[in-house]
Amino acid sequence: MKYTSHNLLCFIIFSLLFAATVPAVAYNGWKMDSEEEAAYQRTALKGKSPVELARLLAHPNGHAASYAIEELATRGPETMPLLDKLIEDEHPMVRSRALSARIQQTMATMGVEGEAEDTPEMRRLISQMVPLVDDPALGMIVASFLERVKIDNEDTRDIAIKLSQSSEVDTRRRALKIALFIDDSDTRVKIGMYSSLGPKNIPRAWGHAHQLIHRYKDEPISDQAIPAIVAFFKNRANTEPVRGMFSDTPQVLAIEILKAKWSAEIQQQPDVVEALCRTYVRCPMPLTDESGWGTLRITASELVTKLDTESVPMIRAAIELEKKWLAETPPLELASLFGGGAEPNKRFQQNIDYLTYVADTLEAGNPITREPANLPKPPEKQYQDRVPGINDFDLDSILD
Amino acid sequence: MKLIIYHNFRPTLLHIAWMSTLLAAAVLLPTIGKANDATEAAIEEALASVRNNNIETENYTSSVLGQLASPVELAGSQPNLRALYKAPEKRTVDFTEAEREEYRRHFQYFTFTGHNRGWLVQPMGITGAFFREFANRSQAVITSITPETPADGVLAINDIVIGANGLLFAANRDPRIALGYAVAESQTERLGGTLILQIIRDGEPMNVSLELGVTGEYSQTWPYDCEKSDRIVDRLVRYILDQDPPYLSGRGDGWFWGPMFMMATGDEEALELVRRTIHRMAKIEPGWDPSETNRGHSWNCSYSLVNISQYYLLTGDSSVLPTIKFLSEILEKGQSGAGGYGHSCPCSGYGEVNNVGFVALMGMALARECRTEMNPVSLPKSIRYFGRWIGGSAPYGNHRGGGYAGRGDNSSASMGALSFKFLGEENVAYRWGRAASYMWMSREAGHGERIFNFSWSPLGIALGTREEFAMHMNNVLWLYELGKTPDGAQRYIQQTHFSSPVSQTTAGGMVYTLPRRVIYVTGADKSVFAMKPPCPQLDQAAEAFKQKDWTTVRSILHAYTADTSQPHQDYALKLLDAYQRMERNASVTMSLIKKSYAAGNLEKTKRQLEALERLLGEMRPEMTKIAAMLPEKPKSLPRTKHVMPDAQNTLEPYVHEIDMSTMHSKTGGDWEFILRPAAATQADGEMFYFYRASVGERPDLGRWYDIDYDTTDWRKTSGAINPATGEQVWIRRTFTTVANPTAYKLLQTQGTLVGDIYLNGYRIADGSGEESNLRPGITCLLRKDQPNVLAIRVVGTGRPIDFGLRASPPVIPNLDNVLDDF
Repeated sequence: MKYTSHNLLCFIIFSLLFAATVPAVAYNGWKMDSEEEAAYQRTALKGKSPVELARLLAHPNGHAASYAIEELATRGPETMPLLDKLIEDEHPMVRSRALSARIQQTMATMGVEGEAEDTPEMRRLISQMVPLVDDPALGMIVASFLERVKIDNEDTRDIAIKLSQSSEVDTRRRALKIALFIDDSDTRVKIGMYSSLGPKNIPRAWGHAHQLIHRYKDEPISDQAIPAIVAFFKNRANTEPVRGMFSDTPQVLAIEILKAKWSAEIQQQPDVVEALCRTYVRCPMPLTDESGWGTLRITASELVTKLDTESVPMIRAAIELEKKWLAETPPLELASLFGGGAEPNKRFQQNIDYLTYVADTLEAGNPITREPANLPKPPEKQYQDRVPGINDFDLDSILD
Repeated sequence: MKLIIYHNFRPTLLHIAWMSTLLAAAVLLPTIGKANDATEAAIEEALASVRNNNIETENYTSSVLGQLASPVELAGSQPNLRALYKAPEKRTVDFTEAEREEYRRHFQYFTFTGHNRGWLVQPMGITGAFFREFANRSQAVITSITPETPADGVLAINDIVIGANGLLFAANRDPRIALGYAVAESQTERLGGTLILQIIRDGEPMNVSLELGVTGEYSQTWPYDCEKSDRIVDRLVRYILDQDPPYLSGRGDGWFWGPMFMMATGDEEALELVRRTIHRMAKIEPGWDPSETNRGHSWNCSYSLVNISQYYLLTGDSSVLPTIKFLSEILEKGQSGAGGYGHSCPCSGYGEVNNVGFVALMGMALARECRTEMNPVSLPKSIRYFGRWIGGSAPYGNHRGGGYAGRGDNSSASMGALSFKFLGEENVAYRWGRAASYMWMSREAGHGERIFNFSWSPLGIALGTREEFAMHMNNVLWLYELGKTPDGAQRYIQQTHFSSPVSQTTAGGMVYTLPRRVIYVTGADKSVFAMKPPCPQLDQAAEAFKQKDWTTVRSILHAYTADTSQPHQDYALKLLDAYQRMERNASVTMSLIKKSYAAGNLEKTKRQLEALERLLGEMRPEMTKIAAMLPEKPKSLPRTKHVMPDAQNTLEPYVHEIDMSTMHSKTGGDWEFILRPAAATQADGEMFYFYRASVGERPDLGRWYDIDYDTTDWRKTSGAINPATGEQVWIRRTFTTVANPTAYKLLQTQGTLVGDIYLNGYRIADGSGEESNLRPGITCLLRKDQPNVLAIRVVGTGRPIDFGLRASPPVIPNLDNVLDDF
C-alpha cells in the first residue's frame, strides 16, 4: 500500500478512534475502583478524633484498617505523641499499624512519596528503625517502609538480614524483596539463606530465597548457603507444604545450586549425601503435567550417579533411614506425597532399590562400568506414560 | 425394604440402578457411621494446628487505649451506601437553561444503535429496562425494554440515564450503585412505588416517572426480619417451578446452587424437584471406581458432594449414601500433595484452584457430618492447607489474588468460614465470616463472572456478627436489586453467557433463604442424621430409617416418645420429626404426581414416581395405581429403533438407511440446513407462533406439538420474533425433507433458546443456549417427502428468537480399526 498523506490521516484518525474505545472494551463494565472506594471510606471516617481512629486499628480486615491508618497519618503533628505511645502498645496490631501511621506522617512531612533520596534525614529515620525490627509485629512495617524508599545503606542491610531471620514468613518475604535493591552479593546470599531456614515457610518464600542464592550459584560467595540448601532437602523439601502443584520451583532451584557446587569434598560435608538420597527416594513425580518436577527428578538422578565410593557408608545409612521411613509411613500418606495413585510403596521402594544398586556398584569397585555380575538391574523406566515432557528421562541413558 | 414390580410398569434401568444402590447401601451402612478414631484424631490435630491463625483479631484490649472498637463500632465505621443514596424529598430535578445547554453540548453527538453488546448489558431491576455502560462514564444508556413492564412506554432505547430520584450521578462514581438503591427505595410506601429517573433524550435533560408498584421495604437487617426478602424467596421458587425443568440442571454450573437453593427455601414442591435432581446426580455409573482417580472432575465432584450431603442431612434419604462415600473418596484421593485441589482429580493443568478447593473441603466436611467413613490423611491435610488463610482471603488459584490485595477473594473467605463451621470450628467460622464482611466493595471482582461472590459471600458472612453482616448487606443491596428482573428471576447483574437464568436465580437467591435456616449452608441446626444414636433402641430406629423400614421406625419412636421417662427424648423427637417431614413431603409429592398426570405430562409423572419410590423404598397403593395408568412406554424419544414404532403414536417414523452417496469424508463434511432460520429465507417452512404476554401462566394448549395440531388461532410470521424477557412463546415450523436425513442433526437458533423442543410430536431436547445438540436418534423421527413439524416453547431472554435445523454428513466408521480386529 502506498502511504500517501491521505492514508496517513486515515490511519491517525482510526488509531485515535480505536484508542478512544479501548478503555470501555478492556474495562468490561463498571466495578468499584480503589479511588471510588477510598472516597466512600474517607467520608465514613470524617470527623472522628485521633483516639477514635486509633481504636479502629485492630481491625480484622487489613484493607479496612488501612483507611484508619491513612486518616490518622493526615491529622498532623499533634497525633505524634499518641502514635509514639501506641507503638509500644501490647496489642501487636495496634502497635504495628500505629507505626505505619507514624511513618506515613513522617514521610508526608518530609514530602516523600515512594522512592526516596538518600538524605541525612532519611538515613537518620532508617537508623531509628533498627531496634524496632526485633519486634515481629513492627518488623513487617519497617520492611514495607524500606521496600518503599529503596535506600541501600549499612542500616538497611542490617535490617534486611535481621528481617530475614524473623519468625514470620511474611516478614522474611519482605526481606527478600528488600534484597533486590541491595547491591551486595554477600548480603543477598545471607538473606536468601536465612529466609530458607526460617520456620513455617511457604513454597513461594522458599522459591524467592533460593532464587536469590541461585543467582550466585557459580560464585564462591554462595558456598555459605550450602548448609541451608542441604537442610531444605533433608528436612523440608519432602514434606506436605512443598508438595503443591507449583512448589517444584524452590526444589528445582535448590538442586541446581547443589549441582553447581557438587564435588568430592562437598559429599563429605554433613548431611549432604543423606539429603540427596532422601530427595531422590521421596521425589517420585507427582501426578501432574508440571514439568518442573521432572527437572528435580532428573537432576537428583544425575547427582546420584556422581556419588563416589567415599560416600558409600553414607548412602547405606541414608538407605536404612529411608527404609525405616517407608515401613512406618501409612500408604495413604505416601500416596499423598505425589497426589494419589495406586501402590505408593512400590514407587518409593523402586528408588530405594536403585540407591542400593548404586551403593553396591560403587562398593564393587567398578565405578566406570558399574555392571558387575549378580547385581540387581536398575529399576524399570518410571512415569513415562504419566507425565508428558518427561519421556526423555531414562535412567539407563543417564547411567550410560 | 419392599420391592414391588407393579402392574403394567416395566422395571427400567433406573429402577434397577436405584435398587442396586439401596442394596449397596444396605451392605455399606454397617460400616458407615462407625467412629473412626484415627481419622477423628488426625482431624483434631489438624484443626488444632490452624485454629488460632489470626486469633489476635479477637483481642479488643489495648494497653494504651483500653477497650478497642467492638465489631458493632467497626461496622459503624464503614460507609453506609444505603443511607448515602437515600432519596431526597424532592425527587425531580429542575434543569436550568445553562445546564440544558451543557447537556446538549455533551450529548448531542452521541448516538446509539441499540446494539446489544452481550455481557455488558445489565438489567435495571424490575423496571424491565436493560442498560449498558456509557463509555465508562457515570451514566447508563438504555439498550432494550421489555414490553409491558414499568419501563415500557416511559423509557426509550438510547435514553441516557444521568440520575435517579433526584440524585444526579456523581462524576467518577459507578452510577449503578445509586440506581440500585433508587429502584429498591422506590418500591416502598414512602415513595409510593414510583421511580423518577433523570435522563437525556435526544440531547434534552428531563425527568421521567416509572410505576414500579409498592412491594415493601428491605429491613435494615435484611434478609433477616424482612418480610420483603421472605416474599422474594417465594417469588424465586415460583419462577423456577414455572420453568418446569425435569431436573435442576443447565449449562455449566446449572446445578451448583440449584438443589441447594430449592432445599434452602423449605418449599415442599421445590423439595420434590430437588429429589429428582439429587437422585439423578447421585447416580453412580457402572464401572466407576474411585481408586481410578484420574476420572474425577473437582468441580462436579465437590458441588455434587455439597448438594447430596445436604440433601441427606435434610431428608435422611439413605439411598444417596453410597454416592457420598464415592464422591468423598474421589476427592480424598484427588488432592494435590499439599492438600489443595485443581480442576480435576488428581490435580493437573495449571495447579491448585482454591475456589473449587474450598468447595471440596466443604463437601468433605459435610460428608463427615453424614458420618461417612474417611481416611485419616486427606481431610486433615486439606484443613492444614486451607487453614493457613483463616481470617484472610485466599487467591482463586495457586497464585496471587486478583484485584486489590485482600478484596478480590471470590468469596474464599466465606467458603472457608462455612467449611470450618461444618468441621465444628464455630470460632474460626465467626472470625473468618467477620473478616469477609468488610469485602463488600469487591463483590464484582473475581472469576466466574462474580457468581461465587454473588452466591457464597453472604452465607459465610452470616456466621460473623449480625451488625457486620447488616453493614455488608446494606452496602451490596444495590447489586442484588438491579439483578431482579420482571419475570421473577434473580441474576447477577451483568448479563452473561456463563449461566442459565435458572442457575443465576438459584445462586443469587441463596442469600434470601438465610432466615429459614433449612440446610447447613444457611445455618441449619445439626441434623439428626449427623448424630450418633444415643442408645441401642434409638440406634435401631435410626438403622430402620436408613433401611426405609417405616413400620419399625414408627413403632420404636412412638413408643419411645410416649414414655417420657426415657432419657433421650431430644434425639427421638428429632428423628420422629424427620420421619413426619418425609411423610408430609411424600403426600405433597403424590398431589403433584396426580397433577402431572392430569395435565398429560406422563414423562414428568414417571420421573416423580421413580424419585418418590426411591425415597420411600416402596410403591404405595396410590403410587401403584397411577403407575398402572401410565402407558407402557411414556411418550419420549425412542433410544433405539427397536422400540419404534410406539404403540401410542400414530406416526410411522422414517428409519433411514445410510445412503453412501451422501457421505463426504471420514470425519463428515459441512453442516447443512434442512430447515433454514425464518429470517434467512421466507421460502422455507412457515413459522406459526402463539404469543403470550403474561409471565408464568401455563395455558391449556393441548398437544400443541403434534403434527396434526390445529393452528387456526395461532399467529403467523415469516421472520424472527422478539419476545420480551420471561415471556413464553410457542412456535411451530413445518418443513419437508427431500433428501434422506443423514446421521446427526443440530438445532440452530438465533438468540438464546430456553425451553422445550419437539419434533413430530416427540420431545427431543431441553433447549438451552444458542445451539442444541440433538441425539442421533432423532433422525428416526424425520419423515421423507412428508410434512415434519418442529415445535418449540421458548422463554424470552430479550433477544430475537429464530431457529432452523441443520444436518451433518455421517461419520464413516473407521475401517482401519475393523481391519485391525481381523
